[in-house]
Amino acid sequence: MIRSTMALRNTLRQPRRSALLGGAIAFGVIVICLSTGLTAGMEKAVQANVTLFSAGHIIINGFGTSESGRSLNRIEDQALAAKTKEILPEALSVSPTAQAQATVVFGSREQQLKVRGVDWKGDRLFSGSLVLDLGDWASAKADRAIVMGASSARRFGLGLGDSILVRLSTVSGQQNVTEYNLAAVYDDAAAGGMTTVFVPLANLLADLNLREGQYQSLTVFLPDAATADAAGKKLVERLGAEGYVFRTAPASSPAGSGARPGEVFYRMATVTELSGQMGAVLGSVRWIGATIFAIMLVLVMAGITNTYRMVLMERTKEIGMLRCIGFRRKDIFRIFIYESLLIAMAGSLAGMLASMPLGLLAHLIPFDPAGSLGSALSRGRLLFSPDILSLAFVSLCVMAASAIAVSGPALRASKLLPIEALRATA
Amino acid sequence: MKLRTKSLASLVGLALLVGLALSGAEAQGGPPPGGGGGMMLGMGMPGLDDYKLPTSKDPKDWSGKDFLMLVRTTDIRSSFYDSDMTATITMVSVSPEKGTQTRKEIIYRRDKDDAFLMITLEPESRKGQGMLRVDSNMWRYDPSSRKFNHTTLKEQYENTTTRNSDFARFQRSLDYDVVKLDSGKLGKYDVWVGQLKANNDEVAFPFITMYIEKERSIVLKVEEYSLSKVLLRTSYYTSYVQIGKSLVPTVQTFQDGLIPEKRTQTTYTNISTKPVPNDVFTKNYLERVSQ
Repeated sequence: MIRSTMALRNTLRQPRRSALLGGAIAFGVIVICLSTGLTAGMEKAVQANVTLFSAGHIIINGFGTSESGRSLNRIEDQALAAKTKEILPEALSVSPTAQAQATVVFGSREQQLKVRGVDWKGDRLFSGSLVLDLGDWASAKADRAIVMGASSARRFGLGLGDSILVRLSTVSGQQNVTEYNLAAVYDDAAAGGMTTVFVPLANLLADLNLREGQYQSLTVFLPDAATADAAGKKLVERLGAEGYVFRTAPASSPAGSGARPGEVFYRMATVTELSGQMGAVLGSVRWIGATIFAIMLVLVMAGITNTYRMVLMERTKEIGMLRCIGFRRKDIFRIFIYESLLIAMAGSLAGMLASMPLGLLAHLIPFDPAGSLGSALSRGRLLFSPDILSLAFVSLCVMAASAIAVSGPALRASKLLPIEALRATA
Repeated sequence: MKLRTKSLASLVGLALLVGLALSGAEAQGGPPPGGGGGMMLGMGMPGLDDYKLPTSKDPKDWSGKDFLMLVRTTDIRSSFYDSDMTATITMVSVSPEKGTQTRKEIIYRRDKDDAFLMITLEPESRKGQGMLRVDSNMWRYDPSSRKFNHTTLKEQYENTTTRNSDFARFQRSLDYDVVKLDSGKLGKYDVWVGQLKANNDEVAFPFITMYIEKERSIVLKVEEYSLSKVLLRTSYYTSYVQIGKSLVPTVQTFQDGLIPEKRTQTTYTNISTKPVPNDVFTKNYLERVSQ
């Protein structure tokens, strides 16, 4: 107890020096807290946006062949959805879906957009995630209704009820054009800059010239995106055991290539895989942050070592006196270590506290949702999501580094002979 | 009201374009009556050798098969089965959003193998880009990334109203069946108006209407429709040139059906039928010349 009290008193004896050391530590902690908090936020935003882009956490695409042997993206198996629900009872929704790259035409304007067919009856994802600027969900779910992003609607100069043409290729590659009525406009900035338009699944299946019961992919929406990989693996294993053929696509080949005549196979992807590229970028950001932190830690350690070498010279007489009145070597060593731990702890705490308003300030900066960072944004802004475990780990690292930095001068202080210490400073 | 004005403007535009097309065909003199180089019979197309088309100009005397054989004749005559073909294509695209854009390409065709190679000469920013078709495979090549991307005949060409298939040999007679045949007038020309339906689901346009001039048996106009029977594109073949046994539409205008102001005119010049070396129809050649 007396050692801790003495360490605290020593720290407060030179408040300016302690504040400078603590400040250096705090600065390093701020950098690492911002870096981990922002990358964690971006990761969450990417996963949420990719889930919206791909319509679920797990996506199963089915492939068959046409009469001429051409690979077609379609699922005909009526039991697949029921079996998926049975294997993953925790899933919030298991929905058939379809999508097409289409040209949306209004007057003399056109734009290439992805059209997603949604089974609105079973949907939990889109109606729960998209924020409508105009219109309402009841109209959006009507026959031949289309829900469009605000940027696209603005570009076309569209108002609710306007009729637009959607031109797309059917599953076999024929051109088709159909008409839709604008029923709602969603805030695309709030959806990671997504430009997808949404139409009722039955309408899109008809436009794609798919027969009743056919669809393109099955999407699974889970309560937690973090469980997608494990759930996907389980799904492939269980469906595989029931005779469903799953294949992985070579990176260079088109998604549905390689089907042999008469063959039906499936491809499964999870939100983690789909956000892989962005995840790799975020991984790099995290590594850069960690490297900066490590460099700063080394510099701070050097600073602490130098400072305590000075402290050792200043306190030689004091150490001699302490030894004379009965303090043991290990007591002297511990006082130095406790001092460094106190400074590190205060610095870490200050750094963590300071990073919070800075992170929130970063969250207030608006970014272009259609820009390169778009998919890592939530409602056009960076998310700051600090993680308690990471912060605790950072604090431990800082304290350990400080203790190591002080251990050299502390050891030398503890080895001082009392009589020589008193003589040297007499 | 706005839409009505727009459709009226489109109709007037269309009428002007048809007028231009037909006067263009007339100005060129067109091929001699009877089809220039003859029917190009015996091109390996079964049944064409001995097939006698009715001489009557009354559609009642024509069967669907007769019209299909006429289409087959126009397909074959516009192709080069006896020789290779090289030409320079000037492509002028007009779009309300992008304005007018001009491209120049060089094309090498070997129709007997259904192969072609097209390389962009202008604009400078796209120079060296290419498109290669060999057998049933087709690639686009981008010299800046040095990558080949798989494509198909059905794809749109560079966001214009042309399709990749417009640069290859025609084979409408193989992909379509006749639904209805009528007689009509296109400008001052007497034409067969044949409504055709695709006999497979892999052609880009499930329905087409062909306007073939009765006297010279040349295609003047083709309307292409979507699966929902919406007009997607109208192609005008306004000028033909006789080259050897082939009768080539040298000026073609493709007008978008949904945005009538959007159109592309392709003009073929410097057409040659000299043999093209075999290695031209290879990826290596395309990579080499694109450097």
